Amino acid sequence: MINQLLFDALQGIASQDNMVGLIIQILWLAFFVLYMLYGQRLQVKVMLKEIESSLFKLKLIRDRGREIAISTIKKTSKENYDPTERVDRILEHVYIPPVSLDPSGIIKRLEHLIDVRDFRLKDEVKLMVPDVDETQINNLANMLEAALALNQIYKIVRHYYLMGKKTSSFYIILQLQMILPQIMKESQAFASALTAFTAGQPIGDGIGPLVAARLMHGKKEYEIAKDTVVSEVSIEGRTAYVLKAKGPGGNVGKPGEAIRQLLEEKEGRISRIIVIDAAQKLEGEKPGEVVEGTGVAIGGPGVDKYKVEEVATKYKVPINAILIKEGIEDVVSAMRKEIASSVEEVIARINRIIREMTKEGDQIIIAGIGNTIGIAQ
Amino acid sequence: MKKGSNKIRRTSFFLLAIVTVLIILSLVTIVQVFKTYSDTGYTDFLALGLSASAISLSVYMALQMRREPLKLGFEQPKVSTVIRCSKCGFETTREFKKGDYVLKEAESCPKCKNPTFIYMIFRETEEKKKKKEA
Repeated sequence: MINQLLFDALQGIASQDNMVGLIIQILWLAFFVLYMLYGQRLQVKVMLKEIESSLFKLKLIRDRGREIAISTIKKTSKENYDPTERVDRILEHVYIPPVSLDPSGIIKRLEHLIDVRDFRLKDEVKLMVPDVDETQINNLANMLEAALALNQIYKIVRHYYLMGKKTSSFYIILQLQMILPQIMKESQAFASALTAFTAGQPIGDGIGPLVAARLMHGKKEYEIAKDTVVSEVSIEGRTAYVLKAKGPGGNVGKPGEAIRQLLEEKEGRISRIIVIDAAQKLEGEKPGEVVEGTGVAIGGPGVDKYKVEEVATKYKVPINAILIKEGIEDVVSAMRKEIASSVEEVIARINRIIREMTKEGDQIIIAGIGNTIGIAQ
Repeated sequence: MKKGSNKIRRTSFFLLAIVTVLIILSLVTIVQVFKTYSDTGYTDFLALGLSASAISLSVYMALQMRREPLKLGFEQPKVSTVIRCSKCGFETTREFKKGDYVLKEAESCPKCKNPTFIYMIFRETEEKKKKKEA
């Protein structure tokens, strides 16, 4: 019976002159019309389902990050203190960037706001765990920043998801779905960062300070700007002022201010500035690949970059950049072997640049840029 | 922290329901095929083949569902600490301990008894592990 019906249906498709063929034709036509009318809605539903599953994962990451932050502070605290309420408040902290309608003096205002935010976060940590040293305060502040970033990402994705669902706007949902793989990658990078900050392990971004630390090893250092140290090192008969953020706590320091002060102190008698930093690798490039460039390789909001560019232009000092390529997932997670092993090559390149581009007796600045967590001097 | 506690298993109840229904229907069909064979001596190879395929497909789907834990990124990677002697350059590698940092002074060198320091801290990448296993 079933076989007969199936045979009829197949025959109907083939001949299209009996009842079954007619029904199948009508069904096809109905499907075509329905797809024309409701195709996009169907697509929206499918996309929303995909976003929903990513949003669920983001929520899990956010909650786990929060749990780790709370439990780490609880473990670090000597008193029986419950930081949940304070951590929850920190995770909702909002940073409002300076107004850019009148761009004059925006760098100073930006620096001030960043400093205030930074001090506030460290003060909050000190209030929760008053008995710990500076290194731990910095590491815990970094950990809270990672948890805060995870919370912000989740809330922004949720906002666009709900907005897309409410308005059934194909284009809001499409845009969100398009950037979702990148967002997921970034969230997982922040999750790894949280683990690394909790343990105090060096992260991929710390390659600049790692190179500087190797050059400074055994030399006396002094603090030139807030959380930034400098050492005088003799390389190839030249005097190099090697600077990095003060470690081993999680810190980026103020390399821009340090370079500005050094140049002002020496009244511009610096023959070259070499900046070492991690750079975003393109797909296909190997992590830990070393490349050279011209310009100030300092990431972040731009305050330090601006300061170096300004003072270098004032004294006409050439700037070289040495970049170590890293994927987004490696920048804030524990430093991978290929990146750590690139230090020798970076030092060899520094030596070559010094030999080729400066004379004996010259003074140069070598700046290792990045977060120095897990790296002392 | 319990090892692996941050891995969450993702099981879709919808898929699980489909797999269960498929298995039940296939088993019923197989029973029917055997009943028909014992009553009439006729073997419905098509039904038997389709049921067997449905069961294997369902089992495969169920295994796939079990195999895919949801990785959140909080998994603790294998991090190593390299200790180097500042005199003879002798190097030892051990697992990272909390409190380790680069340039931290470590125990004296087992070869020349001179002071040593933490030279490098790094994480092994997963791709390398896979290669080693292969």
